[in-house]
Amino acid sequence: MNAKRSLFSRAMITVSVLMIACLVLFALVPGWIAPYSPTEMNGAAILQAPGGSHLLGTDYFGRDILTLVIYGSRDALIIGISAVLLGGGIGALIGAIAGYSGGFIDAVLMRLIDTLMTIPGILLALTVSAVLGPSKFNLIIAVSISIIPSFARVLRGQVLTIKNRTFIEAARSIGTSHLRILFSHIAPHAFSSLLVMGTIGVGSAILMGSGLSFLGLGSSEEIPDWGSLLSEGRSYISMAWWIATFPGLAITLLVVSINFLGDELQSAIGPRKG
Amino acid sequence: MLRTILYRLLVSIVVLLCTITLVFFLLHLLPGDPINIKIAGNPVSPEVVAKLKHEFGLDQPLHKQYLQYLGKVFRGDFGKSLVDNEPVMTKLMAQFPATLWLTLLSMAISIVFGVLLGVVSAVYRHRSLDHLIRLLSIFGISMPTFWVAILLVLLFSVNLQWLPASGVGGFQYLILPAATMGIVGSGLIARMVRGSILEVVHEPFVRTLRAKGLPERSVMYQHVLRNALIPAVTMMGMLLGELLAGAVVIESVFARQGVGRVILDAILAKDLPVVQGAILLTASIYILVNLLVDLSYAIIDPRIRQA
Repeated sequence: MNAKRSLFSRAMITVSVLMIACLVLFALVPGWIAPYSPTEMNGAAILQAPGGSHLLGTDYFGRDILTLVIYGSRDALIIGISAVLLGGGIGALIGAIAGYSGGFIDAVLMRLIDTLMTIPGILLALTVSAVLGPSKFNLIIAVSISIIPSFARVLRGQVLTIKNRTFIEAARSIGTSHLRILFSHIAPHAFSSLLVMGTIGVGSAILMGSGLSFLGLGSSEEIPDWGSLLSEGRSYISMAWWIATFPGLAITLLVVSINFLGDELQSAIGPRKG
Repeated sequence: MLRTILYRLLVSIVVLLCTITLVFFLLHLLPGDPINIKIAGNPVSPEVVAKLKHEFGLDQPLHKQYLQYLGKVFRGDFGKSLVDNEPVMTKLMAQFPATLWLTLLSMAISIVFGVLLGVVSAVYRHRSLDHLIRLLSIFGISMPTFWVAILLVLLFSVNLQWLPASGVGGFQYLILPAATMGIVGSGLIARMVRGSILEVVHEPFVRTLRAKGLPERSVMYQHVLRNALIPAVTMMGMLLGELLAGAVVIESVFARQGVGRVILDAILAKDLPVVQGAILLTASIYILVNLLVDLSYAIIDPRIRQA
């Protein structure tokens, strides 16, 4: 195991956890925290600079930016977490089956994954969400598909190293079924790397999701998510810097915290690093 | 060696074929009839629609369309745009240089700063400088590129008025977009290089070098670095793919010309042949670069050549 964590690491872990906890709280009960209603348009306060009664300013419709940023955390977290559960789950399953079966099935499945990998993530997600049409659910599917390959590859590697160990051979020799071996004997060993990938995956899914909705392929609901808020802010960039700045800051702080925790988890399970 | 090359080449071709197939069928799931885009809502007689369908081969069954498309692609013919009738190949090739320059410049920025920061971080590991660089590179990979782009425009175009906020033209139009992508790329490379060096540092041959009394400086710069940068080569291939794809967002933010812009416009206009062609172009570059990376491995690292 590693030596004691540095002061820097411990401080950063605390900050990251607090940050994520804060945003999760925003996502769960935005109404308790936000100063205004997210749909409230105040014609008397259009494009107001930060300060005064609107801490982070207002947008072109007179909506309070702080309120929109607080409400936006819900979509970001929903997209990030569900895309990882869906795409990561499918990817892990494909990888596990490929690694465990070997031979022809392995070759076919991995060429499929190679194919998915040749189309860079954002491009794949962009195409899929164009095919499916703009909505939050389709956005999640688009992001999920683009994270399948990395999960599949890592899980396959993990299964390959575990499946020839003696305890698996022992399980097989007493007649345990393949499914049972895969799920109760191999899966627990892959758990820690799944946890790391899942953590970092949530971060990149949030980034990609907000990118897609920035490009206009997100949901067009009444309450904008961070990506579409940023896209609105880009149009008013020379007049109102705050509209684009604060949602972007929210994305960054959330993803930085997630990635930092992912790093620390990685170094906790992989004693060679660091 | 020759066998390795041939095998890799074969795998690449198979993967390229799969990609063509995947993209073809994926895009044919698009809702809406492409002909409607062609006629753009104008009232036209059914005969004209039938004629157009015939012209674009859309009256054929799907598997025939697929085989025809496959045949054309291998002759370098990606079909014609539904929007302006321009051949897709011509359209893409006209835009490709802009994207290529952007990608190459941001790649150069990423490699220079990324390797530098990564090496410094690893040499000063677990000290303040390392912490600072680690934090910076985490920020680098965590910031949305379009946000970085907007912040740079705010600073350098709106406030300081040093550089143009958007458009195409000379070198000054390239700086902000390339810097945006370079910031993300540097973060990626710095993390990779740091991790890779720290892994090599713990290898037995490094202990041997230290034990025989070699100064730490030459252990680090002559032995560790050389070995640590090998995995970084793979990273370059992946980075190129990321940057090419990132161009979709960046070209749109900076209102630049380029393949990324063409893809986005085509996706929004449901201009199938263009989307298909552009994705295949990106995918082929990605496959080609990774093939070169794989092969260069064999040249750089003798252990792989023998395997």
